[in-house]
Amino acid sequence: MKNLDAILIAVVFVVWGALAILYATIDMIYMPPAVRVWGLGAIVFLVLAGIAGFAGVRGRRRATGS
Amino acid sequence: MNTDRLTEGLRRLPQGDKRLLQVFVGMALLSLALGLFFGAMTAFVRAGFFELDSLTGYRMLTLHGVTIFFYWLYFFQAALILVLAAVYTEGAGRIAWRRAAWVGLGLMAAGFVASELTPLLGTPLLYNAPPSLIEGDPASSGFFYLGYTLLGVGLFLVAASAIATAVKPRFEGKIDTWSSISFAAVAWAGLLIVSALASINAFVPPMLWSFGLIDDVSSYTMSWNILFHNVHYLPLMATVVMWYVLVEAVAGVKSIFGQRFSKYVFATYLIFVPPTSIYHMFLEPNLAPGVRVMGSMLSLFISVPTVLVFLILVASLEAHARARGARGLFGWIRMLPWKNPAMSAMGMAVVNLAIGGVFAFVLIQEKLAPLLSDTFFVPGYFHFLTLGTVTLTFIAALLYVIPGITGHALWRPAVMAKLPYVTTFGLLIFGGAGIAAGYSGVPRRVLDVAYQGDAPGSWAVLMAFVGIGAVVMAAALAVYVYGLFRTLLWPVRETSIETAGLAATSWGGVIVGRSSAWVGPLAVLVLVLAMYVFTSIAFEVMSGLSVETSGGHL
Repeated sequence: MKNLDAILIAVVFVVWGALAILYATIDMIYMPPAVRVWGLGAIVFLVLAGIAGFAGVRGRRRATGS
Repeated sequence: MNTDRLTEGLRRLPQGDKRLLQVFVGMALLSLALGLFFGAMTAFVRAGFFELDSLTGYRMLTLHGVTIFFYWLYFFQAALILVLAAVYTEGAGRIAWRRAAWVGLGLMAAGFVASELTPLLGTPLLYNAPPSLIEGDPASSGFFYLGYTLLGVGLFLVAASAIATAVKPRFEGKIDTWSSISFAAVAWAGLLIVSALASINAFVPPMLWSFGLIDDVSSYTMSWNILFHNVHYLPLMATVVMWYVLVEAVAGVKSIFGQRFSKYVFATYLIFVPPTSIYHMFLEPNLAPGVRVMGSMLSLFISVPTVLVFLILVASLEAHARARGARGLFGWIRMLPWKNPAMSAMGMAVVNLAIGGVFAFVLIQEKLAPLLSDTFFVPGYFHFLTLGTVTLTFIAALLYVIPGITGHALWRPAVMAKLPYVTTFGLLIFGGAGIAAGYSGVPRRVLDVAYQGDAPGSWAVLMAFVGIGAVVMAAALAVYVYGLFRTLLWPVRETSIETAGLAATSWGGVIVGRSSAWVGPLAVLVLVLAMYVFTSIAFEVMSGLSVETSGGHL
């Protein structure tokens, strides 16, 4: 699978993002520092997944000359 | 003969990259040497071998934690992610954004100076730096928080450089996928960036507070707990990634389960980081009972990726060795190149991880955490992890990295090969006595536990054994530090990769058919049984303590 790297990192974004939302919205586990860190972390992994995916597409275009 | 990919890749790096890595490694070794000195002083005072006034004693304790946990482990991790990204990303061959990495190194070094000098000249704040300790004089520790913040920003830049190194060949169309090690390096760098952000989230508010710019630092404890979860997870992830790398270097073996499965496992490291963090909150009085139970159950998942990596590597080694004629359940272990100092360090790291892991699971249970967290149980068990597992693995990596970036032959490999056994022997004394001391209620951060003669007599005996173990560990580590500095700074003799002199086997290239590989699963079974046994012992022993000697927890 050509995009496996990007997909795996995107899964990390989904899990971290979901947990940040849970920490922000459920009273019993409401923890603002956790929301900030896991939320920012989700964004970091979203950016990484994007870079990995985009680099792969651009690299393949370069390699094939299209 | 040693022509492994790691050594060869390091040798081919441009001179500018080697200089950067040499400075990182030098700073890491300086941190290890200083942290070792401060740690030995702390242990000797606690054992009663000599006396220090309490302020100096707490300075030693603070500096030991700060220097080892934050600077030794992170200077070297910074070097390692750059190495892995540059060497294991096909088509990379050099470090990208090297200036950013230099700036990152400079900021980390500035943070190191601030973190070392502030406790020496001002208040020793302990490595977790709770603002509550300096409410009377907050200005005394502003630069301490600044040091940690600079470390975080520096790590951010180095991690960005590592990611750029791995991404560049993909942009250029040289590769369309990462190797499993490149993927691990990128994942690891991502977690480093998140941890850098977590450190800014934790330390900037108390820094501003200590300089008189804000009033509220009430969320510090929670911010610290989240940061701490990341920063003690990262070295473990680094450790298992290095096992992958070193197993290939010493035995020529890659995972028999393929690159894709390895990537799944490295991804699980990141997936399990946030859900397993709740156990750090177990001492928070306001945490709901349901969340405590959930946190206790989720904490079990923290070991899943590490156990998976262990199973992959052990099964891969065992299957390759059997294909080469190994016989008996453990016969393949004898065939490993134990004369290679990296092999013996890695082997002992696995043993120490098993011991430390068992007791980590005792500690992170909801009912036991409040009883054990403030006892000597904590330093007793976690030295199996910080020293016995992570530091030995990092040293194993240095044994390849330093000759690779300097061209120097390793100082006395035969001596180095024996040091992991000496270190582990010292650890067994230190950790065994420390864990027993924790079970019997010896407090964790009190330098003199005699309590004017009111403490149980066994406490002094156990702390003396802690001191004896520390002597052995410190001696072995001191030899390591000397040998590694010697290799880094002065050529023992000029060498090429063909004369690096480290014993290695070459099990790669053999066709591995269907074969049994039971040692890994059996080891995990023993680990689980040991967790049950030592949890039961903890409950039995601690339920027998009187209220007075347990500090009022019961």
